[in-house]
Amino acid sequence: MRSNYSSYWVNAITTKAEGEKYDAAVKFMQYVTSDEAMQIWLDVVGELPAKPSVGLTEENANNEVFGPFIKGLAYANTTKFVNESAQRQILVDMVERVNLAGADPAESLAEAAAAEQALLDEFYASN
Amino acid sequence: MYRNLSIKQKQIVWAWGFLAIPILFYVIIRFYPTGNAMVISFQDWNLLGSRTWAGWENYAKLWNDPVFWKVFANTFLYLIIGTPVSLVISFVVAYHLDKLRFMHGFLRMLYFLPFMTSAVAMAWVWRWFYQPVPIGLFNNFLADFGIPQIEFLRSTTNALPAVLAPAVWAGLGFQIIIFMAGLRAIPRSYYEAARIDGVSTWTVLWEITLPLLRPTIVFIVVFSSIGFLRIFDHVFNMTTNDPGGPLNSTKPLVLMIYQSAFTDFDMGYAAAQTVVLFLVLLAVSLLQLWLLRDR
Repeated sequence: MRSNYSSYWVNAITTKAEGEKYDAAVKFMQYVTSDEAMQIWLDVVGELPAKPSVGLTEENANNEVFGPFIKGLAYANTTKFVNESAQRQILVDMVERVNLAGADPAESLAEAAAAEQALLDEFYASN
Repeated sequence: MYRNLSIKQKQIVWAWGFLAIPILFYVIIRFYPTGNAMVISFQDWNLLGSRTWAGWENYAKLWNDPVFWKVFANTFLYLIIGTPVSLVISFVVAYHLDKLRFMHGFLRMLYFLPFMTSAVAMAWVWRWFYQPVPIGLFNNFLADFGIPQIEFLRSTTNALPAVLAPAVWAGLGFQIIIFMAGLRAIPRSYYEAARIDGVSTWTVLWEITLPLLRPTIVFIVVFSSIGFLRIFDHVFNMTTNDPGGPLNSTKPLVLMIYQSAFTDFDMGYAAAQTVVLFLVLLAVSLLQLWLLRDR
């Protein structure tokens, strides 16, 4: 199995925006998500573009600096965190149980999976 | 209306006018949030959304949470190790410092210095002390004498005492000053009478010094117990990459409250823990006052 990690930013318009400000915000969003803007963002800032139409162009995918990263996006997954520090803590505890408390790795993994599931269930039950 | 009051009544009005300021301040800053926390402990609230009533749900969750019981035990470990150890050390130091004339002020300053140091700076320096060989001071010292390494912070058994040590050290200066004031307040005539009777040093200590230090001891025990029950900064700063870890072995109740409130945004659950901490602090303080009361 091939898998890679990626994270992304989400830009949005607030529900309180109205009239002229709303129109301007829509215009800005249209621009910032355009192929042109994403290419500038890649060239100037160095962050990978979100749209395949920009990211996977011949030129970008073969760039010697960020080419491999762009190719990796084809099989990348993003973890949806419901509580990033709590989910990190579950992982830390899983490793520490094995390293410090001498737990069986498979059991520790199962315990971590159960804890993670409980966290997700609690989050989706109330949201 | 004010003009018709007698001087006596006017004085009362002014007295209450001035007294109202601290009372108002306390009501707004202390009593209102305390009451509010008790209300929130029966609600679900994520700090931004609306508050909904949850009944005893948060307390039930607390009761069934194994981490909470672990944390509860840790909190009491900080108390039952920290308080007696700091009490004995500070008394021994104060007792001997009281008899010392040579460099008395300088030594007293040295003992008081940690009390004035920021807990954050102190915790990070101690964190460095505890690192493994080539970095950590203690393990380097052990290695020089060929003694095996000790895992201070990366151990489920050693971490709590290791975190507690700088906390005890930090409070020592204050307790020594209080003890010395208590020792100075004992009338010299008792000691003179004891010397005329030819009583041993130990008897003087047990029969004169310690009984007459009772109010001082009560104050220090209550004061340091409350301090250890709400320990936070030393723990948080010495275990930042796994707060309260490893495996919750150093996590005190205040740190769990902090995490529930400001990383999980579960205000109801955090408030329920706060209410439990409040009740524990109240019970421990009352118990100590009762145990050490004047008979």
